[in-house]
Amino acid sequence: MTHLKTVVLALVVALTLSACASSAPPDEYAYFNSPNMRSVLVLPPANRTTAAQAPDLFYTSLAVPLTRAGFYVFPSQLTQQLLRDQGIIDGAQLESVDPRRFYELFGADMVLQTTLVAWDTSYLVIGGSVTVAAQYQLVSTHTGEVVWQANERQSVNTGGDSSSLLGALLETALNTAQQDYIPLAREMNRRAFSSLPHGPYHPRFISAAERAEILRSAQDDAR
Amino acid sequence: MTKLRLRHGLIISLCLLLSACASQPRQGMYWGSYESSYYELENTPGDQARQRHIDTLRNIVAVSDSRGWPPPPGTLLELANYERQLGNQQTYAYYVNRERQLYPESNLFIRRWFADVVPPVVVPEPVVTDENDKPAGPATDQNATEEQANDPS
Repeated sequence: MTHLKTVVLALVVALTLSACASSAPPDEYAYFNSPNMRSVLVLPPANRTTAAQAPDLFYTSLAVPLTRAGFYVFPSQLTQQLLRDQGIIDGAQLESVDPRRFYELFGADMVLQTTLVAWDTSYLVIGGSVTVAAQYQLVSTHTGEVVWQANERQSVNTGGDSSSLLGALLETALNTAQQDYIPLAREMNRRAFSSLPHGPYHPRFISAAERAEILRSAQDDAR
Repeated sequence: MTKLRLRHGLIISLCLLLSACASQPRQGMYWGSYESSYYELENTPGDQARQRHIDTLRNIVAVSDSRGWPPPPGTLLELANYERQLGNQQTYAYYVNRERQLYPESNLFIRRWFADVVPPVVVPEPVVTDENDKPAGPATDQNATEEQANDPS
């Protein structure tokens, strides 16, 4: 019995310690460990929807989750104003601009380009939904390469669950009208950025040297 | 008795091993109601929304300071810009230099867009020839830094 207890305790210790062991992130994100991938400039979203105000509203939701991922993000409202002063209000206007220009003008290591593809309400009398969808990509201003990308969509059903037709109709109309897009956009961003490697201000960030050390240890263990 | 000692020993060892895993304390980040006040500024622009956003930024800095956390990236520059518009030049320069010191990534941006703010003076340490002494290198002028570090408010 005592022997069993000892084995169980040893297993618990081993499992707990194994959780502490750092593991190297996947190879495709190795460049995020390099010293020149620290800061992000969020560009105005390109708008492929019919909602004229949507990009400005969506833009307000992008900086906070990026900083929580561990990156230095240039002050959103200020950079948005600087770009507006240059006549840039839609991200599509910047598609032909060489990314290196953003390093020269802002000192940004990466730019976040987003395209808003849905900001819609669909209303089907007794059923309805509100949908937001966007494409995201981070582009290195040092190499011009796309270093990360994601596509996300978030919907909420606004249909009424009343048993009568009139009740369901009114409920759907009310739910759809009251539904705010921004909480959906924030949830969509959270999901999109969850696939982003940690930036240098994240406690679990692994520097290039630490990564090399982890890989070296793993190779030694494999031998 | 031996069993009890063994058990205590194991528990203490486990605690010590686990404490070694806690490599660095997680530093917090306080954004307060930034997203909602910024959204309001875009959705219903006006003096009221602007004032609410300024109050939000000031609150973010105050709460972060009280918790010993750095204000989140960019917030000091955004607030600095408002302080400049309000004519609070000293506070404006103070916030710009705080961002510069906290986040070196902001240096080029600040040099370009906040060129009127003079950075804290950095003077090189005198070169020492004795090999046993500290190697020569840049050091921050204490007086200048302390002056910048004093909150003008």
